[in-house]
This record gives sequence, structure tokens and C-alpha cells, in this order.
Amino acid sequence: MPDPVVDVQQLSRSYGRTQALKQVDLLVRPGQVYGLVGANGAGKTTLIKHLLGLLRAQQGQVRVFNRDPVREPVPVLQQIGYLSEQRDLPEWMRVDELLRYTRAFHPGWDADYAAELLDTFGLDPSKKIKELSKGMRAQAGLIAAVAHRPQLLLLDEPSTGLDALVRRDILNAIIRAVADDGRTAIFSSHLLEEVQLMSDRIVMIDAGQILLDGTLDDLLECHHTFVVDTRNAPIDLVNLPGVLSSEDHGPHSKLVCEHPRVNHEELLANGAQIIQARGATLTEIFVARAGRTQVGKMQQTDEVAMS
Amino acid sequence: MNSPLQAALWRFYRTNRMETALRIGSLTCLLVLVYWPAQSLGDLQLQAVRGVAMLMLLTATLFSSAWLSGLDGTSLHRVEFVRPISTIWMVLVPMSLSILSAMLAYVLPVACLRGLFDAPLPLLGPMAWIMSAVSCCSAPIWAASSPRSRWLGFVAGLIFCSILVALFHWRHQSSLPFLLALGDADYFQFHWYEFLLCLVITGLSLLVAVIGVDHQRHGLKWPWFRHQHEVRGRSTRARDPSTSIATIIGTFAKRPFRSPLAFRGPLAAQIWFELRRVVPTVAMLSILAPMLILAFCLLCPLVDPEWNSASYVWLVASLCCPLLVQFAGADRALGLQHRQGTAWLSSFDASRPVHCDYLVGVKLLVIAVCSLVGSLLMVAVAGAHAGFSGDWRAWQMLSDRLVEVAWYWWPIGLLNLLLVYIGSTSALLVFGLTLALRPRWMSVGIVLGLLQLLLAIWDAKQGWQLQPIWAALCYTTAIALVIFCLWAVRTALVASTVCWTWFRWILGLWLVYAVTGCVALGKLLPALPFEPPLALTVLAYASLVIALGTTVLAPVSLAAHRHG
Repeated sequence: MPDPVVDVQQLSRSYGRTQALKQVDLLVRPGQVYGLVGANGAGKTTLIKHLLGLLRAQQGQVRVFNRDPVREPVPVLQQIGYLSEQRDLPEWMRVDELLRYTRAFHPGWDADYAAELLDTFGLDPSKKIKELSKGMRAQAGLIAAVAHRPQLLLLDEPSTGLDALVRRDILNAIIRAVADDGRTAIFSSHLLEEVQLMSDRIVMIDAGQILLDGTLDDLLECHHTFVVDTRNAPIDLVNLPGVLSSEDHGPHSKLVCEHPRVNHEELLANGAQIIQARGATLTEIFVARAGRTQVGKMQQTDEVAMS
Repeated sequence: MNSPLQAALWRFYRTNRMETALRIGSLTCLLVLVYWPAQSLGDLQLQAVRGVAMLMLLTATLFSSAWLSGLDGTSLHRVEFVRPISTIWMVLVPMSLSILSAMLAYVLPVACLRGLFDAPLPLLGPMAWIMSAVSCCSAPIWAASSPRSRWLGFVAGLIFCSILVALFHWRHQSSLPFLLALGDADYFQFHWYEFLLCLVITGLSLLVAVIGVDHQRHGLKWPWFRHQHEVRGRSTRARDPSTSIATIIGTFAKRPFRSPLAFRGPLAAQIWFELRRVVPTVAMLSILAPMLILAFCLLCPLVDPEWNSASYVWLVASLCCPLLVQFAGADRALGLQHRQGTAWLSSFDASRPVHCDYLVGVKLLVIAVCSLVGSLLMVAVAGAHAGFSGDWRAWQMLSDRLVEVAWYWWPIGLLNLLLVYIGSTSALLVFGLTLALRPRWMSVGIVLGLLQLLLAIWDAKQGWQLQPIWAALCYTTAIALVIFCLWAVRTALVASTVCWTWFRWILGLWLVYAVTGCVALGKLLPALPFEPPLALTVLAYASLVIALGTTVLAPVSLAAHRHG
């Protein structure tokens, strides 16, 4: 098995009283696209910043290419392409100056690829960054991030500002090209359909903790959605082990379940009448998982308050 | 916050508190330091010192980041336009607060000087002038929507203020030179109509700002610009025949865009990047400073025909110029992004695959080159002025002194100068970076320093009754300095923030500096007219480590921003 590109162990980080990451473990193997999924403030950007060495680990360990990105920034960052969420590129630079400048730090710069991407996006290289729209800035940043064909591509909310066409076709093509070359891409997003479209593996993060880490196929396979009629059920089905969430729609309920633990037979045995059964979407899985965490937190708070 | 006014006050406080506190604190410190030793001087000299103090006060209170930051368009965010408040409210509150903070920055140091030394410094007149000058210079920044017009408006405001000052001085018909006149308490006794004029200027400036912001808010143009736009549009349409020869020639003559060549390596790219970041400010300063000195030297003989100190002014200006450029360059080279009172290093800067010591090294190099060029420009203008006026006295005196210096002091002096420059620039970088990261620590430190200074002045007046405390403070500071320096070196080396090669170079330079410093102190201290206490001598020797400490600490401070 090849060496992991990223090895995060027991990583914790807090900003004042806010715990941004709690004992996160993550192992990223080469040649795959990782979708980092989470709500706003879940800790996606904090995790990415640790991989870049832009944040020093307060607890735990971060290794990228088997190196510490804080102690050895040069060899690590040379192999990484990064597009930040803020797109904070120097406004006084022209697009061609940005590429020229970035090129100097990356010996493996592919000028033809950069020119091809410039052409694809239709970006004017003589324009200053400050004259570009938000989407164009994202495109310029994306070219600067991928043109040296990095071993690890880190994209923080890459689709922000990009139109649907660029998002669906070009961004997907760029990320797939990285993975097909045997390199690795990690991108964060809260657009779950997009993540489902592009990723090989999903890392679901919520409130600084990793809820799920697995291949997309496994994840989809082991989560099912049942629409059931619960009027005749003697017990509340949401209390069944393996039922992650329940959403009431009049006489019917939509249950998102972990598949091997909850199946047709079990639901029927508990008095539910199954109206529809299908594989869960990523959005349903995320909402069920994240909602469960929130409910758990609220219950804990209630218990503390009661005691 | 229950009302828009409270919100506006809170916002002004949050975004300007540090800068205002720093400005008032440092001004008070500086003025006390200037005024304290000058008390033993004669009346005329003391008046000149007061003149210098007034000049410093008026200049420093005028230029505040509360409104100067608007030059890059950060004072007014588009998001403000959608707030449910009137434009008048949106502009008047922050502008008035800027004016009030400027006036406060004048009143507090003056009150301090008055309280400590009974210095006869005026209050009302200068406050009126500050009010009108700040409003006059800040109004175009608010009113204009493009960076170019903001700068033009700001410069026009400055010129207008200068003309007003010149007219005031001319009307006053003071027989004294300008600097001495400034130190005269009666000079600022304004008549009622002068106060009225200040009020009118302020009112008009506020009106212009409100109208300008209102135009921006509703996407309108000023009538003159609208007219220009229409004329330009008509003329373009008139000269747009698609089949004319001119169009065909124009198409061919149109220069195709050529991509610039690649850099030779990261060093060249980084130098280019820092130069692009630093040069605009430094170049403007390097051009403006000699021009201002030249204007001063040309105007002074008109005010006082017997004035013949131009060469000394040029000499002082030439010596101060590297420091001025160093300050401005270091401020730009920090590379921090500022918004709404917070500062941070952009991820673009932070994620560059380069070591922190390398980044700091490039910053130091660029600032040094800029300082050198700025100084050369100043010396060139000084030489031209001396050539025209035939006044070479100060330069002659300097060259006579330099000739007396033994040959071996030249290389030693150059090495010392190099380290002092690296150390002081690094200190500025460390200060700027730490201020952005730990503003509370820094402000507490400044306040403590200020209190200590005031206590020292009080104790000096009482005949140094607290001598044991001062001795203990000197010893503690000396030990703290050495420990701090050792900690900085250890941190930098253990965290690999400073590589060994860079450290060896700095250590070598510092050894030369330390030996020279020890020799110089050994000669200087016995030659003093009084015997310095042992504690002060220890502190003087211990302070030699500061240059090494700050040099090593600069990459550590940058790393603190980079790695959170």
C-alpha cells in the first residue's frame, strides 16, 4: 500500500473557548478525490489550514508527505496546490503576473497547461486581479493552484462564485485529472450534490469531529431511506438502533437508516408499513448524521440543566 | 446597542482605539522627552522647542489612520450603503468622530505638558485649525469613488491647508521665523472671524463629503464628470468609422499583449513581489520629502532674509531620510491585510513555499535598497541646492570630521551600520507583526512605558528619591533583555524558523557590533560629565543584545502569523 499523503492523528484545535477540531484522525491515500463535507463552521477550513501548515497543531500530529508542514514548509508547500476560500490574491497583480510569480516557487510548472486553462476560462491575462469578478478570481486562483501539477490539491470551497457550467464541467475535469494522474485532491464544500458528483471518498465533519470517513459507494450502500406509514407501529421507530433520523410528513415518516442494522424485515416486524424504499442521498445522510449530533448535544445540555 | 449612533460610536471605537491610543501615547512620550531636557535652555531656545513640539503635534494629529485608511477605499464599505440610515448620518458620525479624535490627540499631550512643565501651549486656536484641516483633507477621501480621485482630492486638501497656513502667517506679520512663531503662545490667538472661517471650512467639507457619498450610494456621478463622460462618449462615436484607414492602422498598431518572462527563481520572484508592494509608497515619500525640504529652504529666506541654515537642514534631512524610508518601507513590507481594525496575513502570503527567514531576508533587502535610493535622491537634491546657493558649510564640516576617522573604523563602522540597520528594520517588523497579533499586550506595554516615563519625570523633579527602585528596574530590565534574547535565539533555532547559515552571519555581525559597542561604551561612559550609576551602565551593556534579539525574532513573529 502506498504511503499516505496526509496523516492526521488526534488533532485538536480551539480558538479561545470554541473547539474547532476535536481529536480528528484522517488518513488520505494517493490517487483519490476526497470531499470534505460539513456545515458552515464545522471545521473544514481549519483542517485544511493545518494541512498547509497555516495553523500549528495544538494537540495531535499532522504529517503531509510524511513531513511536518510547520517545520518543513518548503518541501510540503511545493507539492501542494491551494485555493483559499477568501480568494485573497494580491489585487495589484495582473493575472499573468500572478501566474509568473507563482511559477517561480514551483519547479514543475506546466506553462502549456496554464495557458490552456486561461483559454478555457477565457481569462484576460492583462487584467488586474482587482478588476476581476468573484468568479474570475476563483478561476485565476484555480489556475495558480493546479498549473504546477501538485501532488496534493487542496481546494477550500472551490465552487463559490463559479457558475454552474464551470462548476460541473471544468472544475470536475480538473479534479478528476489530478486523481487520474495518481495524485490526490481534497476539496471542501457544503454543496453535497457537487461532492457526490466529484468525490471518491467522503469525509463528513461536524462540530470539529469527523462523523464519517469512507468511500462514496460504501457510504451510499449502507444508508437507506424508507418512507413508512407508522400509524400502526406500537413503538416510535426513531428509537430503533440504526435509525438515524425521522422526518414526519403527515401520516408518513421518512426514515434514514443504517442499512445492515435496519432493513425491511425489522421495520415490518415493528409494525411499519413500507411505502417506499431507496438508497439515501448524501444530503439525507449528512442531515441525518449532523442532526443526530445536534440532538445529542441538546440532550446533553438538557441533562446538565436538569441535574 | 439600541441606536444607530451607539452602533457607529462602537464601530469607531473598535476600529480606531488602538491607533488613537498609540498616537496619543507616543506623542505624549515624544513631547515629554523633547520638552523635559529643554527646560534648562534659555527663553528663545525654549520657544524654538515649543515650536518644534507644536509642529509635531499639528502634523501628527492631522494624519490619522481613522480617515487616511480611506485612501485605499477601506473606510466606506458598500455594505454600509444598504444600512437603513440616512447618508448624512452615515458620513457625519464617523467624520465627526475622526475630527474629535484628532482634536483629542492634540488636547491630551498639551494638557500633559501644561501639567508637568507649565508649558504655555495654546488650546483653542490649534484645535480649530485641526478641525478644519482634518475635515478639509478627509472630505475628498469620502467623496471620491476612485483611488486616483481620492489621492488627488487629498493632495488638493493638503495644498489648500498649506495655503491657509501661509496666509495666516503672512497676515499675522510676525517678525519671528515660522518655527519660533509657532512656539509663541499668542500666535494662535484667533480672531472671531478666523474661528468662523474654520467652522465654515469644516461645514463645507462635511457637505461635500455627504453629497459625494450620496452620489456613490445611488450610483450617480458628479455633474462635471457626467459632462466629461458624455463628451468623451460623443467624441468616441464621432471617430469610430469602421472602414476608415485610421481604424485599420489602429488595429495593426494595437500592441498585442505579451506575457512577461518567467523569473529566474523564487528569490527573484520574491524580490519583485516585495518591491511592487513597497516601492509605490517609498517612491512617493522619496520624491515628496526632498521637495518639501527644498520648498522649506526656498521659502525660509523669504520669511527671514538672514536665514542661512539651509545646508544644516539638508544635512539633517539626509541623515533622517533612511529612517523615514525605513519606517514607511517596513510598514508596507509587513504585508498584512487590514480591514475594520483587524490585521492578518493573507493565505496567499502564508502558503508560499518559502521559509520565514528567507521572506524576512528579502523584506530587509528591499527596505535597505529603497532607503539607499531614497537617501541618494535626497543627497542629490541637497547637492543641487548647495551648488546653486553655494552653501556647503555643513557638508564641509561633515567631511572634515570624516577625514579625521582612522581607516580601520570604516569597515568596522560599515559592519556595525549593517547590523544596526538589519536590527532596527527587524525591530519595526517585529513591532508591526506583534501589534497585529497581540494588540492588547502591546498597548499594555506602551501604557506601562508611558506611566514609567511620567513617574521618572516626577521623580527627577523630586531629586531622584526613588533611586533604589530605578536601580532595581535597570537590573531587572538588563536581565530580562538577555533572557529574552536567548529565548528568541533558542525558539528560532529549535523551530527551524531561522536557518543556521543565516544565524551564523547575523551572529558574526553581532559579535563585531558587540565588541565595538563595548569599546565605545568603555570610552564614552567615563567621559560623561557625571558618573553614571552602575545599574545604568549594566543596562547600557545589556542593551547591546537587542539588535541580535530583534533580528532573530523577526522570522519568529512572521511564523507566528503564518502558522497561527
